[in-house]
Amino acid sequence: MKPTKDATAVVDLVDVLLADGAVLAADVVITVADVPLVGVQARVLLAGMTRLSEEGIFEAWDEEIRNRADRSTGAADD
Amino acid sequence: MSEPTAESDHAESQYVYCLVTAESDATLDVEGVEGATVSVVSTDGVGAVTSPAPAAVETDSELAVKRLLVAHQRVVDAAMDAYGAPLPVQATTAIEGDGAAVREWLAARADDVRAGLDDLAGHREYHVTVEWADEAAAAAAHEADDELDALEATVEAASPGEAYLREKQYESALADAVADREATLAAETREYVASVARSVVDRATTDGVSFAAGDADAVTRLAALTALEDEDALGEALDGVADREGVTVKFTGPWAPYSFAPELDDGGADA
Repeated sequence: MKPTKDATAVVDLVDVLLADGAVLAADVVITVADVPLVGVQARVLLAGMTRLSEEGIFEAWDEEIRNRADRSTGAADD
Repeated sequence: MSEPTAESDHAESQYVYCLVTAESDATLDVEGVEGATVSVVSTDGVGAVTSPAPAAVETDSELAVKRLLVAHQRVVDAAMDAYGAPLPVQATTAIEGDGAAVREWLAARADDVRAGLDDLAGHREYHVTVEWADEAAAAAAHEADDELDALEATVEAASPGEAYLREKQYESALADAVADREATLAAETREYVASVARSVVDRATTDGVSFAAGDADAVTRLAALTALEDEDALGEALDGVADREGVTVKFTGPWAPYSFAPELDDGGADA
């Protein structure tokens, strides 16, 4: 099978975006009404959502990555 | 003309998407958070992919946060296309100050960042989620455990007074047997993935909050760090899992190596 990278896959990725990646301790984070919006808070904020794709923004992103995939194989590594 | 106040200098911050191998400063042809221009700030052979951070994210609706996440992922993807595997930074991170502050922050950690990038070069993260339809899992449990058939027969043969108890016994035994089969499938999936991937981790959520609606019943959720050239081999290995009755395999990627990014928080401790 081939891996997919569509809008559904991005919904699955949201967990990872907020939970993983290098954590830069002691640096400022984006604030929401003076409350720091770190990964976990943002996750809780969004936790009520069952369908992230409803707003259509993931679909727009989906379209964009497909276009980019057509232009490039993504293999810029050594 | 008065000098800018310390407060206004301080209020500025730079959103950081990821860190890359880069010899020079550059701009990336992609829209950042809130439409900001995305720059690569480099020093010592490494670069931070940044844009001016929004002062605050409007969260009256969840849409602003979702936009931020989509922008984050979009920029990391563009950086991956341009520079190869990046070190992704946790979404919603910003460094206080201007571009010079980012450069200073990066210089204090350049060796660690370079080591992390070298380690991940040529690799991507892939996600594997395996689901198993209840009926198929129950059938597999029956096949593996003859006692289940016998227990089920006692339910049918039981008198009305006994039936409830027998049914509970059967259901409990079936649940145990299904859990057993699922654990075996999860272990086999991991083995298949590990036979190709350099590294495999569970994607269990740490705080119980997950957006992956529908994945609650997944038999296993894995993240695999795999060499780009092994993507096809990983897909073929997963065919061996997907071929089974009632089994669905979700295979997504290639993503930046989010789940395999190293810790970077000590570099500036003595700076």
